[in-house]
Amino acid sequence: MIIKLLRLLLGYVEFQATGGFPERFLNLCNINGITLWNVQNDGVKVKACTPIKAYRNIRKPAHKSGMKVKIIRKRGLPFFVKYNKARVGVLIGAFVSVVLLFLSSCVLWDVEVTGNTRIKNEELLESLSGYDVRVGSVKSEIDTKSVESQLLKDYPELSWVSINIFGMKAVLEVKENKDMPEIIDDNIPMNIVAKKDGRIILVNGYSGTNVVKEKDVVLSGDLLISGIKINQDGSERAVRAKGKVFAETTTNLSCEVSRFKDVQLISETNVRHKIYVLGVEIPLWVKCKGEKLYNGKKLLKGDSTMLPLGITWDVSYVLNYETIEMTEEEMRLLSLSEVVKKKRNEFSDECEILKTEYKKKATEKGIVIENKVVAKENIALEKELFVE
Amino acid sequence: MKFKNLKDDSVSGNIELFGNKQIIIDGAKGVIDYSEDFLKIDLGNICLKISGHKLMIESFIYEQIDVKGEIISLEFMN
Repeated sequence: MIIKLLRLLLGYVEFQATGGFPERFLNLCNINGITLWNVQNDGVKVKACTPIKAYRNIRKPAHKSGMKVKIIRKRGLPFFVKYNKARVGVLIGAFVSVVLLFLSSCVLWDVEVTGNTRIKNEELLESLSGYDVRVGSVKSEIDTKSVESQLLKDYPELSWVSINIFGMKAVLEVKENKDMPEIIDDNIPMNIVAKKDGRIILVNGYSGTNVVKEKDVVLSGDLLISGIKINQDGSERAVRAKGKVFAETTTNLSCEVSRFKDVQLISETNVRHKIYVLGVEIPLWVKCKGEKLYNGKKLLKGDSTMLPLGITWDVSYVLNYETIEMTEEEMRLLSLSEVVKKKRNEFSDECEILKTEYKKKATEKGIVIENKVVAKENIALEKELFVE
Repeated sequence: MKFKNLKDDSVSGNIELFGNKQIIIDGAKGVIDYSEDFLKIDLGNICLKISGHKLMIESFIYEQIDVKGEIISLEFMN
């Protein structure tokens, strides 16, 4: 194989010799140091191959042995170069493409993250980028062991990290720690008190002594389940009270919206395109104006992965700050959305909204939306019990 | 089959036979007769006749001949 490659590199001639004495021709070639290979004699003509330089000296032995020599085929790089001399551009292009192919095989084309559920991909990719593991990094310069240990230090929530480089792709495999359940110290005595005013609907006491019963009315801070438990012998002991106490509560939420509002208005939009090649962005613009707000990326797609070639763009806006006067409807909608946000924060998933009422009041500055919410919710709140 | 370093003066050259497909002869002085079906090689004191089909001289460099093809018989002649 190597010999064939060398012969192609140096170039050779395939020729045929007819008439005369083939045996004498072969012997004379050998004596004169003319290398021959693939010699075939079919009785009429002899076919053989010889290097370019040797072919120049073949006339003498051919003449002596009475044979006529004729070239059948010229093969190898020297002939190819000579033939394509006029097409210099093609040759340069071929050379450049070979060099580019070699260079591109030395760098990373894609970085993938697998195994993460809580930590975002973007976060891990940014950390990797900080340790020079990104699209366009030279593969041989990546110290995977050191990056792995650095990532484990940076993210205590990771229990295992591995970086594997497959061809031109780096795959970061991670395993996250499992959440430890919250350990409740039962030795700390606790009372359960009401966190809101309300009328008791249901008391589910798991531990401690129930102080209230259904239909009782309680105020915020009132004791619901006591952490003091009376033993059979009449003695008392302090425990951690546990349980759920559901009550019908009334919550008033309000939000005031001013008639005048400071807003940012877009006066000019600029989209700036860049060519993206192996992690390097080449801008197609000179001047930039405005604040960059977001960017986009469109990459060429391979069979299964995205190739690191494509176009990216930054979108920027020139903003003007103005004060506008809102209409009644705008104010109403804005205040309503604020109230809904507050309501979402106020009530948990366990809560059941029984009734809700909205009231709108006009003020000097704007409007106020008041929302009265009647709900069934768990009002139990643990409070530490101090025992002397 | 391999014959090497034969000290006998009556036989010169080394012959290496690879199955019946290839034969390498070292110490060949020249080719006496050559066709597709047989090849006679001068080994100095003796002549080797290779009979077969589609015989091809793979290479002939200095005193070494590499012959490929379907070899049927080898015959030593004076």
